[in-house]
Amino acid sequence: MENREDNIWIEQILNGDEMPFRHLVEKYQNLVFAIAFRILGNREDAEDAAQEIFVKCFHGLGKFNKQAAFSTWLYKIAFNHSLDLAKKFRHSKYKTDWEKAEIGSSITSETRSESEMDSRIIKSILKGAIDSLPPESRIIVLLYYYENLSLKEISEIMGFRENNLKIKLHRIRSKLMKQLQTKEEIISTLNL
Amino acid sequence: MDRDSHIDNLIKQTLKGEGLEMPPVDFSNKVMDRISKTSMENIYKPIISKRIFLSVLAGAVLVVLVTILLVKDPPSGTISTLNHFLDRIPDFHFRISLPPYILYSALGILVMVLVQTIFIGKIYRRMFR
Repeated sequence: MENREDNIWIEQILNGDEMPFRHLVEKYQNLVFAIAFRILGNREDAEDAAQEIFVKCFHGLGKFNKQAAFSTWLYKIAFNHSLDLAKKFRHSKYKTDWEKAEIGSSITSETRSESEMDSRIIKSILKGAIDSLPPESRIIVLLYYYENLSLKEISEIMGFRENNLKIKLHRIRSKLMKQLQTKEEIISTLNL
Repeated sequence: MDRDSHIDNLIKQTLKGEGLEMPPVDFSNKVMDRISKTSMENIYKPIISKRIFLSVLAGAVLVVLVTILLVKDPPSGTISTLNHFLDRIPDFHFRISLPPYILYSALGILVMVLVQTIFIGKIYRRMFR
């Protein structure tokens, strides 16, 4: 259904009507922006990159194979373009920007039940742990856990083999679990 | 396995709870502006690109060189025919006395430009249809 709708818009665009492209932008802008942001690490660069990604996509629509999903094709452009920019900038700004977001920033001193507080702490630790992952792993997490894409789709977007991706995902999981345990231990020790 | 699904759920909950980083409100307008600007740039592109122009030029130079190197015979039919035609115009005493290679080069370039223009025109019309 989604693909059909996208393909109808694409057909109209290829026939010379630019307007349906706005629908595609509005539909996919959040994830494209999120991909760029997670690779580049700051809003300004991410916004610029996301705009470039859509312009690139618009001019490349003629090459798009309608048998495939438009979203997969677009995310692939987004991923590759953001990586290229990150390499070009040769900056590690994303680190500083991610570091700005303090791990415990979302923990407030509001009175909450103990279990609610625990859950908030765990989630906030986990968020910090995800943010500290390398950009490539952050994209895997985003596409797999947030966008619920299959391993096949993610491997197509990121250009990995499916088995390789499985291994990467396993490593990410273990890393997050380890960080979560370590930080939980620290917090519980401090609480004692 | 159980631990895996536990951490999977936790990650999902965290990400969904947190939401995505949102682009600015006028993001789609900015993209559409950029697209219409680049579309205009496409419209105003010269019909003959730099590459094609250079290849036409190279072809023309080649024709001149080949003509200079290979045509050693005295003026052949073309000039005589032209002069014969000019002779028939009363009170008009003008005779073309160009070296043959210049005439052949000029004709060659003319043919090439005409052919290129027709072909390029067709290609561009097909591209923008």
